Amino acid sequence: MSPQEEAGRLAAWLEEAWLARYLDRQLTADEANWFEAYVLDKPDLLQSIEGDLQLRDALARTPDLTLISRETGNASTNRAHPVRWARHSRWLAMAASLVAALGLGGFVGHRVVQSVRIENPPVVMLDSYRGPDNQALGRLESGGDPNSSILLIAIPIPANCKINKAKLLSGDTSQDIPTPNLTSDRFAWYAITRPAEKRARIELEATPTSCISSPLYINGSH
Amino acid sequence: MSVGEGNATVGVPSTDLAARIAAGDRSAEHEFVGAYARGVRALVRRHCRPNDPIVEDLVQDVLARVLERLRAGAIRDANALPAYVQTVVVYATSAEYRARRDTESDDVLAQLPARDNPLEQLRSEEIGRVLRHFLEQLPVRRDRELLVRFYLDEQDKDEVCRDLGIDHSHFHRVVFRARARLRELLDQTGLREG
Repeated sequence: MSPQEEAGRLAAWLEEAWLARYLDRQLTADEANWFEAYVLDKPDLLQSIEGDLQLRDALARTPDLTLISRETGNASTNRAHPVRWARHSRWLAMAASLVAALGLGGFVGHRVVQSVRIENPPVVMLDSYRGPDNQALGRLESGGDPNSSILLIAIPIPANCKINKAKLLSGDTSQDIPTPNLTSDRFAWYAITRPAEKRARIELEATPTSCISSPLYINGSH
Repeated sequence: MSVGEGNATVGVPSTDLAARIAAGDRSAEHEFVGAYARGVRALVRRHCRPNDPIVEDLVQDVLARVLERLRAGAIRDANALPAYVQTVVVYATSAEYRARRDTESDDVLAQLPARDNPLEQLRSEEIGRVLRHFLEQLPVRRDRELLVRFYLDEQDKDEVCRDLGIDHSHFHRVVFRARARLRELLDQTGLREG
């Protein structure tokens, strides 16, 4: 009998496996109950659980996330609280009603507009600088008005990154566009006329050069 | 001794703990609290909403209930003690939220007052500052969204991965790095628990 078995403990690798599934909330209710009873007097396992709880509690304290109600609806988590949570993204609210060309670097593309009222343009968030075939993944975050001639593009900029130049390329057209002012959560925003061609791209020249690794493609059909 | 005080170091409880407490051994009661208080606190937190100030009250409640049963000799099998403690945790937290649901609106639930303890308030504010800094250091919004969906929205891991277009290994990398980085930041500021 191993020392661990003598002390009433599972093998270390088995404990890790149980702990991982517990923290991922992938145990059944009975399994979770059993594991919780198991860890009660084991400080090393409790430390991992406490670390996970600290992260959860920290996220809940973050003031940038506005929490409204939403049902969790997951009976298998064995959660006691019926609290309804959701996230309310600030930029979704921004997209609902927007006066372009004020604070967003202006219109770019085929024409410049001084100021215009835009109702509910679609928002495309470029979520990654690398994706299949080294092309950025664009993802539609807010459907918006599909008939809108405007797209809002949100680009996450890493903390150590400074944008020196920006360019919009669409078909044969290449146009310098303003370097972006970043929002507090380090997103660069552009409002562009929906590209007539299927594909357009934004190229950013940054310091250090490694922080933006490839052009950012926008599918005009969004 | 109030329930919850005692040796913060968790040790392996003796096998005759239940019998000794039923026999009136006060040192055994200290031993019980020392062995289980930290675990009870972790489980109560896990079953409660984030930062719910009721946690400490529930910890006291759980330990007191279990001690009462031990003193009455109702728990004879020491091996059954951990399972019983865990059951009491689940029962106490469920009852708390059930009672709130019956009497309060969601708006009130979302605005529970913080504990009336200036030191704790200060610690909480400092942790908040450290953690905001930590989140700002996450360069990719998707990673922040992953953490929020999983920890605050309590979405299933598979659902989070599917919605964000990532695989499980990426999920675990993000969570692992987040926990490690947060631990680092809290260590630097002396705010880490445990």
